[in-house]
Amino acid sequence: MRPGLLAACTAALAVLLAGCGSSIRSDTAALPRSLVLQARPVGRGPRFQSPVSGHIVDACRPRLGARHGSHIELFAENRVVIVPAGIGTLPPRKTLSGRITSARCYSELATLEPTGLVLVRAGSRPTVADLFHGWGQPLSPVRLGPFDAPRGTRVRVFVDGRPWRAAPGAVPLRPHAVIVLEVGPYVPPHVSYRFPPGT
Amino acid sequence: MRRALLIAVLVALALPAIALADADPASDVLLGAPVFYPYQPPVPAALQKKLNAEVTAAGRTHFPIKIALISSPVDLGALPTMFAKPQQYATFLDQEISFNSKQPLLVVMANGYGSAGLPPAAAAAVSSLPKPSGKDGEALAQAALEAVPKLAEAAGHKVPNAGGGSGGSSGGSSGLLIVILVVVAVLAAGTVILVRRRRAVVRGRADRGSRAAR
Repeated sequence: MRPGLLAACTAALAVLLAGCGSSIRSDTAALPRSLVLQARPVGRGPRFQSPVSGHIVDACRPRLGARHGSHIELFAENRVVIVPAGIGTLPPRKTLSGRITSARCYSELATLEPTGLVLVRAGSRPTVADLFHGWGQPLSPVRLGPFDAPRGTRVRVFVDGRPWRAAPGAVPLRPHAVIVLEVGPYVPPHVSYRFPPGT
Repeated sequence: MRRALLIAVLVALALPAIALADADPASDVLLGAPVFYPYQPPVPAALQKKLNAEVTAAGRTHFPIKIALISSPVDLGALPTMFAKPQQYATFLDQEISFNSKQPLLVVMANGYGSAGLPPAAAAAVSSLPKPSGKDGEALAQAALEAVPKLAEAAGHKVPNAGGGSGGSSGGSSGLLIVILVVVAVLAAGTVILVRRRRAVVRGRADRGSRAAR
């Protein structure tokens, strides 16, 4: 490497680091390092925030009923992909403060908020494939919604922080499962999630 | 060396400022809503609508604040360790929801407030806000309802009483209705007076005309 280029790279790194330090308030230093490493930007544009376009194939019931919660997080291109509210529900829907408060009916799995919290009807055993079907997005070992895995790579799957070796769609949405799906750069997966009471 | 420094500055400037996101529900909800409310116990819908209206009204006066009400570790999803640390969480959440521009943010927890992206005067005013009167979501929402107009005012913006903040019992819409009724009443009274005067003038002319004819 030429000395000038090396100096430019070194200086660029220094400026970047200085910039980081100045743009983040002093108490950011108190943030746990693991937390900062796990954090990623939300992706911008419709690919990262796709609305619900799928169909309900199982029984759609007028009452939500008893449910357990599973949590799913998606990452693509080193960005967060939002799982929308409304999967597994039929219109008309009422929303308040970003959450669905009522819908015409509810499938065996439903998302009432865009947080990755999936509510699963007691006694049913849906999988991640069912979630993507209800969302209307493709899922395969090399495809995560609108995102293709980079050449030579596959969709990475983690359940409760441990790698999942089988097909991504085969992951069961069991009670309090913490599921992470990724394509592109590696993102350290979460291992736990505090589920709302009653889920 | 100067050239290297110039390249370095250009490279740094070319990189976009990024917002961070994580498995805390508030960061996802606040992408599309002005306020994140706790899960349990749920904040009454009427109070939610009141606070949402107030935050929307603040946005119209160029004080576009977002609010996260955190009443328990559950409200933080994968980040329960940030409970009771409102300023630390505000700093983190700010980086999640502020994309390439500043997003004023207020975090309300039972033990106090955290803020980010506020104008300096409003940020200073946060320290003088009274602590929420309780730990549940309703108390936090009431605290936020009172805080928004104060912070907006500190930043030089007057928030209309859309949300009925500061403990006011009458909503902004009923106040507006009263003003409209008063204006209509005044206009009606003025019209009646004008019509009566005009009639009196016409009668006077008619009387004078008939006397002259006799």
